Amino acid sequence: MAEKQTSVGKRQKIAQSNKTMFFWIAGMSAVVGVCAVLAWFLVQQLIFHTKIANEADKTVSTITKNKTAVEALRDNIRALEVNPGLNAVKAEPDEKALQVILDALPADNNNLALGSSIQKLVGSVTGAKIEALSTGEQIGGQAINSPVSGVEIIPFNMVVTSNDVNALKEVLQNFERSIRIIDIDNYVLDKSDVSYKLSLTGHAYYKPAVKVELKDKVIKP
Amino acid sequence: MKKSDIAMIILIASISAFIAFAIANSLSFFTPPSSGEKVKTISSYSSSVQEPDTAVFHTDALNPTVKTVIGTDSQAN
Repeated sequence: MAEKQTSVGKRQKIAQSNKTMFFWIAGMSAVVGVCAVLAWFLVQQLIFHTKIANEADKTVSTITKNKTAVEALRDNIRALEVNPGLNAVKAEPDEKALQVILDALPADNNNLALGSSIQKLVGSVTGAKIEALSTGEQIGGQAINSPVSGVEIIPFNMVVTSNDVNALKEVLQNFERSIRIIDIDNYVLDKSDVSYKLSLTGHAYYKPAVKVELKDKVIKP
Repeated sequence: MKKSDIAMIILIASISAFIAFAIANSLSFFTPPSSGEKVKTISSYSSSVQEPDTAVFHTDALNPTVKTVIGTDSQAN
């Protein structure tokens, strides 16, 4: 009888300890589940902040490189002041040679300056007369896009007349010799009894100034 | 340990993980902002300068630029 009571007590104790063990394991598994989820979120945060830190690091490194490059760049630009090609085509003798680069490719969309330049190119030809000139407007046909990225175009339309066809030829040659690139898209040459009429559409170029400044870049998770 | 106990443990772990996920997902400091974060960047430039093209800039070339003078030109004679 006493033996039976002992075995029942043992079984009760085993069942009790099983229950306790189950609760502990269940509790710990719940904790592990929560920790796994939190770890996942922390890893996501870590990856995201590493991306941001890498980008910021890249910016600092670029600024450092730019800082060292600026001195050499300044010297190289200064060296262009003595370039014979630039000095040969200065608009005014007292101008700086570097101004010639801006004359060839201005930094702004200045229609009036282009009009003046075209007048100068045509006006230097004896016998050629501008009948009509408009700049900045695309008349008819398809819109022309710049073939070079970052460089914009200024369209123009012009009618030139002359009694001598060679004068019109010289006008086109002047366009070709101009340091400011002028491309002719389309032209029509009409001949009347007394004169020749050259109607042409073309375009010149300008390149907006590039600003080197800090810009915001959005890093997505 | 019985199979039913193991299944129960897995269920408890899953439910707690799901609840933790739901709570953490609703708290802003646990999740990176979906709109992203702004970082300052800058473009690099090199010190090299291209030599002017001799096909464009030469002695026979024309500079059609017209000097614009606003008011009176103090340098004029």
